[in-house]
Amino acid sequence: MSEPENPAGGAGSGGTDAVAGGGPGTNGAGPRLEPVIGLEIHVQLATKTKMFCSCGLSFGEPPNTRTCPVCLGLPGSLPVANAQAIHFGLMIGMALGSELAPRSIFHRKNYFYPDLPKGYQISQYDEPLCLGGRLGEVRIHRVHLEEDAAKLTHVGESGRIHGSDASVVDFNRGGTPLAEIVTEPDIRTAEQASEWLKLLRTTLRALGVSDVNMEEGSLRCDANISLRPTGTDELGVKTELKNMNSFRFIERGIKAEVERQRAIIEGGGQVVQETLHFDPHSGAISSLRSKEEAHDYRYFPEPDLLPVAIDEGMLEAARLDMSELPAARAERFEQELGLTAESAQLLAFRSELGDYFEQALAAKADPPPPAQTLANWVGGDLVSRLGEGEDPADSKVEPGALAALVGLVSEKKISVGAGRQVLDKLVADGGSDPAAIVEAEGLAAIGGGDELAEIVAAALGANADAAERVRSGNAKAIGPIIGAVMRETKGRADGGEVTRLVHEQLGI
Amino acid sequence: MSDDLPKLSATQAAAAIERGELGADELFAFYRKRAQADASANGDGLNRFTWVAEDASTTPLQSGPGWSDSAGTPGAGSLAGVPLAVKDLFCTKGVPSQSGSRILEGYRPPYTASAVQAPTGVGATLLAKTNQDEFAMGSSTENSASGPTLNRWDRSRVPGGSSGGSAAAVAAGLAPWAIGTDTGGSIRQPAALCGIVGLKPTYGAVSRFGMIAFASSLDQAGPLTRDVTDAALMLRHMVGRDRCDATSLDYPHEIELPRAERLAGLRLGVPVELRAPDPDAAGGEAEAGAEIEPGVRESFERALQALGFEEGAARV
Repeated sequence: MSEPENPAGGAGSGGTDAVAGGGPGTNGAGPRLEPVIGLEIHVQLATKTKMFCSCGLSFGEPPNTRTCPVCLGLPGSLPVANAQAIHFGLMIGMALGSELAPRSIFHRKNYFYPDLPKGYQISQYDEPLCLGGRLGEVRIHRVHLEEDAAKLTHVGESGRIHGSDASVVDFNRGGTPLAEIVTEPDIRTAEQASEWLKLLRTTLRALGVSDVNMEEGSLRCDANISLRPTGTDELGVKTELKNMNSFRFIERGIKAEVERQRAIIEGGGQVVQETLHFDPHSGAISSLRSKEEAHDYRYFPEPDLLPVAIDEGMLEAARLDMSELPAARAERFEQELGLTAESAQLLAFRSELGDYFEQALAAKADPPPPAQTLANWVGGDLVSRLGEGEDPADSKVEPGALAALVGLVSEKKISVGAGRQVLDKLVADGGSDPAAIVEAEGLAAIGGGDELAEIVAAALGANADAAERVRSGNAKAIGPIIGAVMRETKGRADGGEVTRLVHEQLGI
Repeated sequence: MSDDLPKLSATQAAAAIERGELGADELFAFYRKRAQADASANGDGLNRFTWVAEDASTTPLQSGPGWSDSAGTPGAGSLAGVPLAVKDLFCTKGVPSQSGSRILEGYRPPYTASAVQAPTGVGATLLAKTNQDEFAMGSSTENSASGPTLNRWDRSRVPGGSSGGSAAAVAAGLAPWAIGTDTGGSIRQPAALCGIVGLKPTYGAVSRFGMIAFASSLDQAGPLTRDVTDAALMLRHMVGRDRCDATSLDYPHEIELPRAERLAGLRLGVPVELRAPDPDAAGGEAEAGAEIEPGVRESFERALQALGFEEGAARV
């Protein structure tokens, strides 16, 4: 078996600056304790149909309308593995640099719960699809495929099972394909966990294998947390923290659990291995159940499914579907386009921004916009004018129009302020020719000629106090003067040129 | 024609219906009456059925789009309205399918097992569901929520199991043929005990989709029939890859019906363990042989002679 290429190589440079350093925050005496954190991520795969039957995936349909004898676990029904899910699993394994098992098998994981009609979940156990790997500075333990459980809704005030009036089951979600990604315990802080998860989400989104939406549950993360004396290799007793459905909750939940364990250990107690529930509203952590051991699940090979045998054709198909991954793209933006690391990551990790940026760059605007300036406009001015998380490709602003606009600004054909006004117009009305808007609105830059000098002189006259303070060395006092010029010119004047003229006319 | 009906094999009946010499309705009504009489005999019956069809229209056909495309072998001949008895553990759409258990009381599946859909898709009609050991776990058809099935030849004896209802029904002429399942003998053993033909296909030859599982990696569905030709005809329509069963396979060729009129030239193998030792022989052999009733021994040896078996022809 050939080694799959690993487009995730060099991912360590991406998106992780924020987590470097930091270290565990200890505030008491005694031996310093460091958190040891590993993540288990469940990703709903964006296949057409469910993992083991031909029901379509559900996107908010009425409850129990996307079901069949297989995903309802009716007697006599049989599972058939979804080839597209296996394909996506291989792509994930390739992106994470995992070893792809030539042969993997499904197991039955037996447990009783109302969201699991068969009484077992079809999952993978000791022969998973992908083994090992790395993303950024975090090693991957394994990636395997399984089916999602049905959705339980607890009717009542708390929304949790305790104290609820009733619990109802929606089997639409049951059987949705999941990839479970398990990391090694390489994470040391809550912030690092959250930042790394963002990198993983961006990577999965770039692969196109999942919607990776935490709020909607297509990306779910549990954390295994333990503490140990700093500098040692031992592993302490761990707890598993569930129900953290946003990046903010992940940080808060892990922090809360680390502090809980720290208090226990520093108080001379011992942490108990258990599964914990984090309540984002109260910040409280409560015990769900004592942690099961693997043997509690009575795993055995699923006899209704054949082993998954990966052949060269499947590997080739997965390779062909791999797009450039975010970490590699950020590096390319830095190396080839000379973007700052911050800009490169912003555009690469929100792939829709990166796509838009590259389309604008390719639009052959005249004059051409410098890459960094264009990056600033895409990641700053444009994004701030769109809705939260909105894809600029869905806006009225054509990439070519933005490129032309940025070209005008960087050539000082119009001022930055005028450029922003043109962008407002483009966002509201669309259009492909910013120069026409500049003309129609009279936004062309007022050059350094007599016209601007006269306006500056008038502004100095109208703001004599401020002019005096600028003259006596108070640089900040120039604000009202520039403001007056900008009002008079409707923002068409270049700020640098105005400052120069003020200084010139004040003789400083 | 009514007097001749029970004498027709399923293959002959299908041919007669195709030629227009026999009405499918007539054949169905004939067997339904017999099956119903047994089922409603108030304890006097042989208890072979867990359910009997009201009419031929209850035959579960295609379960709906997206389901198994296993629907018999097109062009392989019609089963033209020949009634079929089906072991209880096959899911049949809208028809009780309880695998001989009270746990599944009230279960009327929304879909039909591929191994049933295949023959009914080419014309066979669902006559009845047959009794079995609960969840196929047994070898006597005594362990059923519906009570034990009796052997047609001797009511004091079991019909074997777990497909005992299917075997006993065919033996008693209450159904032209039946299908059952075999995990560790559940077709072959009741067929033997009822004196009919039973066949367990190679694993993977027949789809298991819709069979309430006993042991997934061993279960297979197969025919229980009056003669070998019927078994071949039924099997021809049951085999094949089903996209609803990942462990099913394409059958390499169409199953041929037996054509030879004489057995000359066929090589017959009999495991030595099946040859009963002579009770007059000395020592341990005689002791082991003594456990076999003389009648059984004679019957077995007569069968071998009828097949032209040559004593000691070759030992392999």
